[in-house]
Amino acid sequence: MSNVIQLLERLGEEANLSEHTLENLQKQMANLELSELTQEAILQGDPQALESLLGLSPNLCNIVHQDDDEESDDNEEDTSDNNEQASSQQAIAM
Amino acid sequence: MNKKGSLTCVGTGITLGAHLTPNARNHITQADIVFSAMNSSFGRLWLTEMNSNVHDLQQYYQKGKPRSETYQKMVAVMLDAVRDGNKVVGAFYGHPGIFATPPHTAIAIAKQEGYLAQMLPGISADDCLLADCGIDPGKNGCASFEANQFIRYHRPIDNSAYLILWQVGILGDSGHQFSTSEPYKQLLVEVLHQNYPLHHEIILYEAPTLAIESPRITPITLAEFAQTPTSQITTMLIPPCTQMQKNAGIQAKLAQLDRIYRHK
Repeated sequence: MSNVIQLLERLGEEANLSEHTLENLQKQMANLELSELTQEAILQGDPQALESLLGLSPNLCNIVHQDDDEESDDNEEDTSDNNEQASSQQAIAM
Repeated sequence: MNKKGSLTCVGTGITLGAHLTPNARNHITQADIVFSAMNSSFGRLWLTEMNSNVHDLQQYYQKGKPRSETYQKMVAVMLDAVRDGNKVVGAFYGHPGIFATPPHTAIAIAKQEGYLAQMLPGISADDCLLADCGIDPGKNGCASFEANQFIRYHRPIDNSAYLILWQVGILGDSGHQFSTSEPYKQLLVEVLHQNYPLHHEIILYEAPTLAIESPRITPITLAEFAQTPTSQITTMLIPPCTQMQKNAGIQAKLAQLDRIYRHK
């Protein structure tokens, strides 16, 4: 697995994947003794297949941002819901 | 005098191996503990090659759990490690200060508590978008909004400039889900249609997380957006549909100033 990460890092560091000849990439993968399926996933540019072959869990969420207003609006909605609930309960009680 | 313990939030860039700055790499390798929020499982493993003590923040996400709670937990675990006197690094994919809530919050609290805290920039998705789509924001101007905020509020649009909308793949999400659906996307079309024709060509963009992938640049019309598949990392780029309007009054005043000051 470490071999695959090192290869992905090296490919990222190099100027442009399009500058890799297929032969060069195949040679690098063969030197790392990667399985045929792994080599195929890399050549196909298929991260999902590669992830699955390596037994890695995909990310559930790639978002690390939340608009503050989004949350406060939800709170406001909750508050107004509660108010509505309270009013209707009051109405029933009356 | 700062207390023992520090927090540095670094950006690891978008494409594994391609974007990490030497400065960020040094912080990662020298940290006592690294908290990671990476854009792929490969990214998480990559960090463990640089530092053996990596704590994955991804574990705090759960379907149905409000993301605000997840972010509070992320902040809490990073700050606990700082308070324990550790040299802490928060490694966030892209730029740690762009569309990233926990790094800003954690750094602000750490500073308030007297710890050394800083943010180091990284290559963000908009950097990749500008490069891959060949856009210079200086040419026509460029506005950028988070898509949910954009539809929830009245935002003035200048349709003679580029418009970038982030997180269009989670439209309508109130913090509990991680995807969207056609009716929510149609709402965005409705809002945009107030300023753009339905046949206007827009671009859906996704930056490559690995060097074995290519950028996804999908040109569609605005009308096609609701039916077009999107993911959590899809960004919408809307090119201008009108020409910039000259401000004749100001241009006349500029000419007048030039006559006074440039001929002295």
